[in-house]
Amino acid sequence: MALPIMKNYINGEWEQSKSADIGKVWCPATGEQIAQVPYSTAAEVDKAVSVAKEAFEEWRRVPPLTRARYMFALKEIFEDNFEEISKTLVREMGKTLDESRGEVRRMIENVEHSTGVTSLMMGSTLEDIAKGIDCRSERQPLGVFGCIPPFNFPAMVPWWFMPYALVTGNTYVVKPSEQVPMTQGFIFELLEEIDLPEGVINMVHGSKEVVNAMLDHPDIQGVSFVGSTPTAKYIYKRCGETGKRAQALGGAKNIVTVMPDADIDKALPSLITSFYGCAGQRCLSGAVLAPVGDIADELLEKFVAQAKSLKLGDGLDSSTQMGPLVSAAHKERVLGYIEKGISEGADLILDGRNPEVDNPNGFYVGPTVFDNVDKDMTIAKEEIFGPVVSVLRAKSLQETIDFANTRGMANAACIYTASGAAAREFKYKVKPTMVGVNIGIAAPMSFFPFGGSGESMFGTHKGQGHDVFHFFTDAKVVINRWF
Amino acid sequence: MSLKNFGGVLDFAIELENEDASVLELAEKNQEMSSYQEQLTRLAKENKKNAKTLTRARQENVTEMILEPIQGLEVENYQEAKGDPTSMRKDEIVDHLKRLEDRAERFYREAAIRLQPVSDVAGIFQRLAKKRGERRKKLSTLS
Repeated sequence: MALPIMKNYINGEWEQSKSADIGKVWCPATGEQIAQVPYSTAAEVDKAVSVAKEAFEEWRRVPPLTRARYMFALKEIFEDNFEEISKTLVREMGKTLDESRGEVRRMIENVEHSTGVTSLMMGSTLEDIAKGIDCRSERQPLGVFGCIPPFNFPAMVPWWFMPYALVTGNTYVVKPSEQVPMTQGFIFELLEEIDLPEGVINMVHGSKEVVNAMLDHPDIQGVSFVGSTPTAKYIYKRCGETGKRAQALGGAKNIVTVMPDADIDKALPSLITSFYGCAGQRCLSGAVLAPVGDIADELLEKFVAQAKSLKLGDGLDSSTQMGPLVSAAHKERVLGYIEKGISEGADLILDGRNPEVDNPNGFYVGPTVFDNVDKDMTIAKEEIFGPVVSVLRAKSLQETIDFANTRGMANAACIYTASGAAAREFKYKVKPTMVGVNIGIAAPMSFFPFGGSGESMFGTHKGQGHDVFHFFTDAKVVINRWF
Repeated sequence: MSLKNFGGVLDFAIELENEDASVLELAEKNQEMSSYQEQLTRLAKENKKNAKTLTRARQENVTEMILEPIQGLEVENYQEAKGDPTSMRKDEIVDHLKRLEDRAERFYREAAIRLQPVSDVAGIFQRLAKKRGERRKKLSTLS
């Protein structure tokens, strides 16, 4: 039986792409192909943008509270279909069902936060900026926006942006990751139930041609991207060249500092989830574990013992604690980094290259730990995006801060300590802009901005929070005088 | 089998509530329990409500920040023979129901400790442990 081919959603209709270029969608837990995805054409992007542009003129006139009501309705539909969305996500991405539920929860929280548009989109006024002259600043939508999300959070990431674009009066085109298109496909089926006006929201599946068509399209006002640093840079540059707004979130190399006064037993579960949650495939994952001083041996002994005991398997099995990597290619990439760590002289104290799993055809790599990693080794510098921990034994807090501030990528950084002074010094000095204190995954909720610094984020407005309302609106200043 | 993560613990709790509701519904059908039908119906309804509360907790309290591995909860410690309340004597049924309440109370109490990082859910488990303990006392009045 032929596998289903994902359809585009344009102007309120499901359309089969005319492209003959078709990609494969895999189940990472079994290594089986489960769907097909079209690599749509620039003409199909143009069609989606055209209808979105046409829909914008009416949509921007819909009162913000009415636009918010669509989101209230959508929240209910998402809640009703919570398990189904979560399971679809597990099937194509591989993370555990709990992790998927966590992701879907985050997605819904953004829908919830967007309903505050009537306050959060509000402008400001000042009387008598000069005698008899008043001034006000209004926030207006701009038109069509585009979204290019990554493979690791196929449900949540588009919704860091999409609900805000919609409630502020913009229209939208999203290109799901071609590796994991099914989740957003299912979400769009649910979206139909709220009966948004045709053209307000559109989805075009594809790969590079779709991305480039979006970046080049003169009627797209801005693009939200999440992915690797090289691609984020590319997106930002191309958006600059074509005069678009851009928020391009890139990669990460997050350090987790453990001070000598940290309570290891209390910290351990959250350290494990920081490094191995989603099999290390998240931009907030710990990558470098930096014990300071003489805590290192005890910490590592306990950390490795717990990492070893993690149960790998299919995310749909409720006893699974860590799922596979997203694809065979990504598995090879991660294995390549493990080889690199060995060849550069780090000590491999936990080897995840041949894990015991029920289905060896799945794309599994087990928990891996390298001890005695030097800051100049490849595994200490580059983003691995897998369950590989590089242990950098540090002599002082300042050494870990210096490390965090010299990676280029400055997404997140965490510290475990009982000392308020150490925690303050750390958060004050580190460049990464998402900081956890005795928290291993410093994930801002929907009402706070999400995004890093340095090479982890290109653009001035982050996702979520109040920032995102500014990204999707322009300030129009009106100065009044009446004779 | 170990319950190794948040979802696994919640799944087990939901199943436990639904199973206990089924036992109560079967007990209702037993002629020897005809004078206690109202109480049994109420208890079964409460089990179903608990299952809904737990489903909602699973849906609303999972966040990636706190998906920490769980240790030391073994399903074997909370197994209870199902039995067939339609063919039991009244005293057997009451004993069986009391054992189910004991089992549930113990599970919720012990799981609440392990779910401390997800404090909202730990709180729900503590409340359910208390509720199930009180139900056991009420069942004692039937015998």
